[in-house]
Amino acid sequence: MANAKQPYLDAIRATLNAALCLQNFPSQQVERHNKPEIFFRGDKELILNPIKICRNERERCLIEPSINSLRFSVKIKQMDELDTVLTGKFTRFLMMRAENFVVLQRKPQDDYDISFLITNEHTDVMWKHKVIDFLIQFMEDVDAQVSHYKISINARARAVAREYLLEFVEERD
Amino acid sequence: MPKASGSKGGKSAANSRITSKIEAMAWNGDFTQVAIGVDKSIVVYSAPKADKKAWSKTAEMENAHGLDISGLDWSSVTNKIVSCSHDRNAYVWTLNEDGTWKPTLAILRISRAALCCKWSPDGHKFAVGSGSKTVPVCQFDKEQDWWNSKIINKKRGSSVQHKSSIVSVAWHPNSQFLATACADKKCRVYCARGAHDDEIQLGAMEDFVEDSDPDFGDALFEFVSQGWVHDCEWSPNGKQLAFVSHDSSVSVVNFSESSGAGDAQPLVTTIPYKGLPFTTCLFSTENQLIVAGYDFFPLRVDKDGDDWTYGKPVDEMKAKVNKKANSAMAKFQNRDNLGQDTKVEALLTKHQAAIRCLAINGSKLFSAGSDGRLQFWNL
Repeated sequence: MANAKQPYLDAIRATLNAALCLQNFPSQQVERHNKPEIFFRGDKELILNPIKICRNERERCLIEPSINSLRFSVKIKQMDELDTVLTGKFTRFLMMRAENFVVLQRKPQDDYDISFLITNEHTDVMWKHKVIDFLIQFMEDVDAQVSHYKISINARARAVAREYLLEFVEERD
Repeated sequence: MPKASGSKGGKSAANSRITSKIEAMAWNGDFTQVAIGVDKSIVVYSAPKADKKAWSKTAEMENAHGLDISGLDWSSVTNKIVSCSHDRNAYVWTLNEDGTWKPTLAILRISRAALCCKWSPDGHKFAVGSGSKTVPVCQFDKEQDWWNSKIINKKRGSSVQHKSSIVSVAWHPNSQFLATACADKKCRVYCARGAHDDEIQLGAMEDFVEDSDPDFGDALFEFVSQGWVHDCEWSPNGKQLAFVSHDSSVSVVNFSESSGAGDAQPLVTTIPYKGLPFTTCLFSTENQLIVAGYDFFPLRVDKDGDDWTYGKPVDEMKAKVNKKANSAMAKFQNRDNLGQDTKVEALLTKHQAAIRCLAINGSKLFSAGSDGRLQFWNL
């Protein structure tokens, strides 16, 4: 499973490595303020071209770099409605605890499931290559988690249905 | 006491970490003292005396500014330090007899953060790059006891204007011209003559400038790049100007040579680099540049005739072989401590984050970066 996704993840890793060259940059719009430019979008020259990396129509990610911040949005693979519900609940759980994750955004971008906002303060304090490792690891794990939940839901549903319907089966002697 | 370690046979990289991040560093004239911007304060370290090994903290200007210090420069002529900060202020510090530093206000008249500051080589004036897209050039006003500024600004009718923040400035060796590195992807050269300057000496730039007696604030050159220009520096004899930008390239303007195109323009050589962008550059000699940036190590760029090529990195980047890493004991220890089988590999480079400042003294190179480390290198 990991092997099939490897080129996709490698492409993301290389792009993040280049896009995470951030620097401390005080706001040009408001004096004495220092804000992530990708979030507030004050000046066009400080924002770089966004890059969309797609594995297929259902799995894609968007990298929006700027001079002092980067937003990384991921669309998680969802094949049917059950996947959509599970992904929604899982990402909502994570996003409600966004402070603990430091780099996680509380609301995803439009059309994506989850978004990360990394600023120059994060790359100064944390190893850049480990931040990228975390993001790639997250993408690998989230797919595994969602399919794990789906299997366990189906298994539980099957077990419940079996027990329930056993009531209606006549004993044949 | 923080120890600054050398690169050859020195202490481990861990010892060279002074603070959380360094964005401003300035050395005094004889390189025995260094001033570093630590958050809102300036800390001055002095070289170790004969018998001691560690650098000692000789002065600390606590809470010198209201916000982070973005630029520091130490004049070798007047021994004054200029500091500028995101709080829109700049101060000139003079050393008292008792070893403390006394600040003098500089009136910058900028409406946004100050991003960098540099003394002119003659020590009479300093320039500040700011987020308000202007460059104030300050000179001392004796009557008012402050530093008053003239602003390199948008001149009416001039097509050459700063359209974004100026992140770095560099004085020509004759203290009359100023190169600016701007986030609008351009490097420009302006005339920044002082009130007391008599004759303008264009030197090698003569062939390319129409007006032989430019006024203060006149734009002389504008060089284009594909990415934000992070830093610019003049060569020791003022005949070359190098700038590094975010498209991972180094460009060198050679004023002694013409580009050969129709209208007289100096020759600009752009050398693309395969790695991550550089944030800072300086000339070690007329024929060698040192650049450093997001790849975390300083790199030599050598001139070969008309071409410039990337040479050896200054960092040896030796992998530390840990023989015990594969043992079963280490594996279980790591699983217990870290939750995974192998320990996080530290980077091979001495710096663990981007290098922001470089300084050179003959064959000794000093680099400081966002990881708070100040490294000494031998070229």
